[in-house]
Amino acid sequence: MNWLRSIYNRIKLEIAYRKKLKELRKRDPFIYK
Amino acid sequence: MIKNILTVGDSFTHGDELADRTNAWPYVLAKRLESNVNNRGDPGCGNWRMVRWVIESAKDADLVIIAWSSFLRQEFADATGDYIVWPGAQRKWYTQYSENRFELIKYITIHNNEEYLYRQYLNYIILIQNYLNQQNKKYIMLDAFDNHQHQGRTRNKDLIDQIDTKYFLGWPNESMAEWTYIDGMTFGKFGHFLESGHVIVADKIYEHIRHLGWIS
Repeated sequence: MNWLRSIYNRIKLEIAYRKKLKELRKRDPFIYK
Repeated sequence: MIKNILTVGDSFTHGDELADRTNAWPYVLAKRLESNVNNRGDPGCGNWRMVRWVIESAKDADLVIIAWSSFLRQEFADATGDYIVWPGAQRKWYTQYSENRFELIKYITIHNNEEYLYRQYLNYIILIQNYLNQQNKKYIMLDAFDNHQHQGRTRNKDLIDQIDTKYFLGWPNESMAEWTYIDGMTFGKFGHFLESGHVIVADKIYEHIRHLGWIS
């Protein structure tokens, strides 16, 4: 089941990363375009 | 007499997006001072790399100019070499080099600690100013952009009080961005100021050098 946990963690990281990118782009659209 | 200048900085010091990089501010300034310049401007450079390069390259310089980059840029290294992570700003750069690095940038983008990184940047300033004083080197520091807008500049008094702002051009409220992002200026596709902006930056530094009495 480790492979399943690994995929789950990767997806979780990707979602958190994209959410953070959205926040950063709002803060400074020039740098984070 | 200033014979040799060392400049360290990021893409703005490197001369990114200029048709001819010898129009970047380090070369414009060197021409005005009739000096030689060792320009270690590096696109995407972080501040720790600049600290390393000053220590490695200041030996032969009569004047060292450090144009600090965003305090958020952090340096890491893996088996293929060192690299800078700029949270949230480098997706394409990382996928083309290494998927492992990209895993790290995702993590750092989500979990970095801005207050810690700001204090780290203040520590770099203090380290380098004390190092250059010990080496009897003339130096000037300035910010390229971003750092002065962080509220850390109104906190962290314990570190701020140790900075000799006489040699920090633009302290506390200005950076190259304030001098160059003005009406009538032209910029490259990636937002770098072009030739006229580099002349403005070189003029500002030149005037400061004169104000300090290092040239007549």
